[in-house]
Amino acid sequence: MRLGNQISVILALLSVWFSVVTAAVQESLLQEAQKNSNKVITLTNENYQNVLGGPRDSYILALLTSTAPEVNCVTCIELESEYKTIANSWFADHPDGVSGSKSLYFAKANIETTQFILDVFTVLGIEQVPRLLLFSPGGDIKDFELLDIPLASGMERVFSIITAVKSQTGINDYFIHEPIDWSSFFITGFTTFAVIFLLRKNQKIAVSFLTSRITWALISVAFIILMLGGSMFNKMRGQPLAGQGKNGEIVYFLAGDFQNQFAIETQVIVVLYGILTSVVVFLVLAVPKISSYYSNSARRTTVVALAAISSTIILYMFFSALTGIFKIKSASYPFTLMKLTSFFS
Amino acid sequence: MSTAVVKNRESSSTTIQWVQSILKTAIFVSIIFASVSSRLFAVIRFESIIHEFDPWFNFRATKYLVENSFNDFLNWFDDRTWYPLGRVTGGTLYPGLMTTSGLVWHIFKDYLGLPIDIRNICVMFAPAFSGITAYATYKLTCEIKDESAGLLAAAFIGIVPGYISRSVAGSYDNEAIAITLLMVTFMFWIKAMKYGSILNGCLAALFYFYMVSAWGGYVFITNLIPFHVFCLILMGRYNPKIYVAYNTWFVIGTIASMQIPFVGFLPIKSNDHMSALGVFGLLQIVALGNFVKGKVSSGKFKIIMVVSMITLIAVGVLGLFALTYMGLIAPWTGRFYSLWDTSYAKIHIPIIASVSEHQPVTWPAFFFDTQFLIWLFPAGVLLLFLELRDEHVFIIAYSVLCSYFAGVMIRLMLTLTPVICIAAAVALSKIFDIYLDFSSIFFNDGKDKKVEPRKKVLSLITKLFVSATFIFYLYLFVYHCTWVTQTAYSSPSVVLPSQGPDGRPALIDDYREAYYWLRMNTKEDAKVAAWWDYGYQIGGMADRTTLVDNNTWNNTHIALIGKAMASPEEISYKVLKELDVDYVLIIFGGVLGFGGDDINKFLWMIRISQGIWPDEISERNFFTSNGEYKVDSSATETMKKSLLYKMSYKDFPELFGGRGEGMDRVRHQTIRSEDVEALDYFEEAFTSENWLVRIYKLRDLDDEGRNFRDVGKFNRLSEKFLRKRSLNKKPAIDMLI
Amino acid sequence: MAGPRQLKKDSKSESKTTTASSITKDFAEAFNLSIDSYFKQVNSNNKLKLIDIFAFFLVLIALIQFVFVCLIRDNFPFNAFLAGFIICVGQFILLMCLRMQLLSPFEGISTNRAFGEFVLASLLLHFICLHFIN
Repeated sequence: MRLGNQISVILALLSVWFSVVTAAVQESLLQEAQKNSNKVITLTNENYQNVLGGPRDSYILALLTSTAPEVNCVTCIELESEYKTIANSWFADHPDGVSGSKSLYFAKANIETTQFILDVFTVLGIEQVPRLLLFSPGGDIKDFELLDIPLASGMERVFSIITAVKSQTGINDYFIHEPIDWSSFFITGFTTFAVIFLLRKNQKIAVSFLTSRITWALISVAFIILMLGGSMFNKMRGQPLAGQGKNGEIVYFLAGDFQNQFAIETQVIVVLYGILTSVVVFLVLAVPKISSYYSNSARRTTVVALAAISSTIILYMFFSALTGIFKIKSASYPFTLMKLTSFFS
Repeated sequence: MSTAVVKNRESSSTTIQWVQSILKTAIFVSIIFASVSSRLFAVIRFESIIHEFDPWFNFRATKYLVENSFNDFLNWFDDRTWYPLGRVTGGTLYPGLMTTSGLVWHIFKDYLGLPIDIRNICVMFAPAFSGITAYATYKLTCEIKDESAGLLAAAFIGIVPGYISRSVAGSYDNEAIAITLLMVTFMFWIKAMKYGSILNGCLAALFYFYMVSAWGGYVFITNLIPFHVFCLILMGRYNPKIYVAYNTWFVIGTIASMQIPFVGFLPIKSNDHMSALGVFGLLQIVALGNFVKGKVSSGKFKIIMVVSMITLIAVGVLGLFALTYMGLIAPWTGRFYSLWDTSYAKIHIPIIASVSEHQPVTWPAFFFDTQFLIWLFPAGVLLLFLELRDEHVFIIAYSVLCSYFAGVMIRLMLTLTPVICIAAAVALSKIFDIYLDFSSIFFNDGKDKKVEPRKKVLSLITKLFVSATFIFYLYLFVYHCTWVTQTAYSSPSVVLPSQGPDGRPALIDDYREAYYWLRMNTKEDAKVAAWWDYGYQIGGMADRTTLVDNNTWNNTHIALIGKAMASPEEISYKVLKELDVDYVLIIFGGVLGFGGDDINKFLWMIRISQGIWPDEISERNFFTSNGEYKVDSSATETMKKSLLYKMSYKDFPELFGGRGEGMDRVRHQTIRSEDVEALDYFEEAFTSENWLVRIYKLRDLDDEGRNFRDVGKFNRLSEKFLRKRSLNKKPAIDMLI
Repeated sequence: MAGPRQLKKDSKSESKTTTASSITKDFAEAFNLSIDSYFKQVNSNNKLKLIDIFAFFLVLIALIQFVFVCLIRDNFPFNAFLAGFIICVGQFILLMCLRMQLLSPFEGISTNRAFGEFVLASLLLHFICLHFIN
């Protein structure tokens, strides 16, 4: 019985010590996190065992990444700011990292130059970057799960990572807080102020400009042509400007692919449509004006003939360019117009 | 002498009128003929069959309508879909399409004595209505410019591929009738606005009601007409005709649209309709202001008007926000909000973002659908700005708004096509007005200046040159449209065209083969579980009860099917047995190289079911340790044990000769027979000719009460044993009995 | 130089109050003018009198229905209330349209034709609202 009492006392002391240690570890995790302004623990060769080693009392999301230029990891560079948003969103709602009975902290290990590979990479067997590791409570340093890093960048990736963390940890009150873009806020504010100021100074000119029909006509038609050129596609999908060919030359048109385009294609097409539209408007509006301007002159018919025929030829040239470009995109298109000149290739 | 001249002129003008009307009729007949015949490619090449997925549901609903009364149809509770939940179909569809087909069928059968099968009516529905669309567009463009532009616009909309894409013969979908009604409603609206007649406003409201009953895109009209009136008020062009037209349309249209059960009280409760209500209120204020303006001096009037307008607008906007905040008015629905904030759907509603029809549009798609109309269209809009009558403001507002929406969502390209046709027709007809006008060459215009024949010839050549070029473009347009229609938009997608090994065209008819097998070989109330893509087709062609279909109104039910597909056999069997399922149908493209099969859609099944049961199904367990999606020997255990994997690849490796290794032609990976574990809880009921559709039956409980696994093991053992025995036994051919 | 500066300040505040009071004065003046000319217009034409009385009666009925729903704090069945309310609103609107067409006829629409269209539209409105009441 004395032995039983002694054992129970020892067990009680052990459990007390255990909880103190884990509380201390948790406390120390919080302290480590608060060392940085964005509350992400920086993993070094000295502290990674303490932070990630067991037994753990909280979830830890660790990002193993490398911003070294020779590694050339584009996703790592994108993740730099996205990871900050992820951590900030969590700490905005939970300043001490605790939610109910669970707690979540963030860590990051960054290889800045390939001369010094951090130990945490070799110990955990991570050879590719970036990698997101989720450490659950309990278990030792080698018990982790790899989370997928989606391809889409920006807020979409932040959202998917947070959803994945939520489903793996079972923490539900984890919300995204998109960072406020102060620079764009100031720029917008300044430009609005400047525009209103200028407008009030030159009120009469501004009013006549805004009420004139031609302004609205040009704005509407420009907007329509921009939309028809596929600019919303570029904006929504974040398309690259142009492509690179096999020998490194610039490829202007994404050949053979109907469902995809470069941003530069939109620019070319918008210019083309603009020219074609203006030629048509020229034919309808300007030629009769020229005709009436020269109505008493002997050269009237020749001038009108020159204007009309040359505009029609220009129209044909640009329309054949348009169909030629379309043939690049869709190789089986049979109705390309015969080109008058050969330097539209 | 002068009276003779006048009489001559009169008779010649009547002759001209006669000639014009004969020409117009001939032109219309040929336009209708062209529009109908260019939509018949699929019918001629394949047969008169309903295409795609959604039209099958509409067809089934129409069949129900003609077999039962209209009242039964409106109160229809469909228990053969979404088993065991059922679907209140009568209250959750737009009845306009089915009602119209039912009416046409009824007229043909009972009044004209020509009983036509309902399937043929449904297939030919869209081409027939395209002729009516051409006429409505003609009338609308006549109001915009004149008859020559109208005829051009009718010709364009008859054959333009942007409209044909959703109205070929066999594409029995809501858009077939919706575009026609759109044009008719707009025609009556423009007429009402021009002449201020209550009758035209009523007709516009009636056709608007018809449109609400036919298509969910009626919200476009609900917002475009108020936007038009708002622009006119901003431009200071208020006049009593606008008041009469808009108010008649608004009141009668709104109350009529609330008669449709699916719409219900939406017009006064949802944010999408608030602009119409707002403009209604604004118009009352403007009318009152106009009345007061006539009595009071203009200076004071301006101040009063400005003050009261500002207060009222502020009150209105604040009130709207307050009502939305309190929840009395529903905020913008996600579908429409995503049109403005284009990244909203990607983050918050990924299912909307994933639908292929909701993708943004690249420029080749615009050119493909309209060819040279695409650059005549902005020119037409610019030319309309010159005259800027009230109806021109409508076309301009329509073009600008619709260009934005069509750029954001490819499905809305359909609503942009009519205005492209109208504006392009205006531009082209203005060109032809100038350059096809040979009257100054052949007749003296009274100026008495003698023009040299040489000059006459030169101006003739100029005009001929320009007109000939544009006539050539028109000619090319017709060729382009026909080519696009036959290559891109004439595929029924139920029957797949392909090429045999010697290059001869072959048809892959696996879908119909499998659905017909289901129809003929299973009992009437058999329940078929398949992924939601095929729900409507199974319901339409096989006439069997389905569990989930393309309506996708219940995400949890879809997740249940996904869970069944992704879990191991034992769990799937239990899940499916609880749902009373008899057969499971999957699509497998590995033999044909068909990329739209269920293994490729597997990730979506996993994701959706993971959303509801995250502890049972985890997407990462289906990816290899390198993060790759593999189906060959390096596939994960979860993948290999999942029901879909086993069902897809059962007996597949044995197809390729004795080596026991098969090449999956879609994923380009090798499947070995060791990777495909045995399927004990399900037995294979049917596999179509090219292995595209595979149907499995849930095994009945064993007679001796054994576990399915044990049964399977026993059967496999005894198979091996029996085979050896039977190999030794050779039939004695020369034995006498 | 406190004098002129003070004067300027006073005139500014004075002008502010004058604009506010001038607005209210203008408003009252305009109101009275329009009321007077309105009555003059109505009293000269019997048809307009009839239309306006009918319109006033409709506003009264709509108000009664609305107040009733607010008093009993329940709008079930909503479609019945809506039908009753909208028929008053709709008929009022149609009356206003007829009134405008009678005062200054639009081209191509004689007063008889305007009245005929009005009757047709009212019949349509009544039919739809009756259907909506259930």
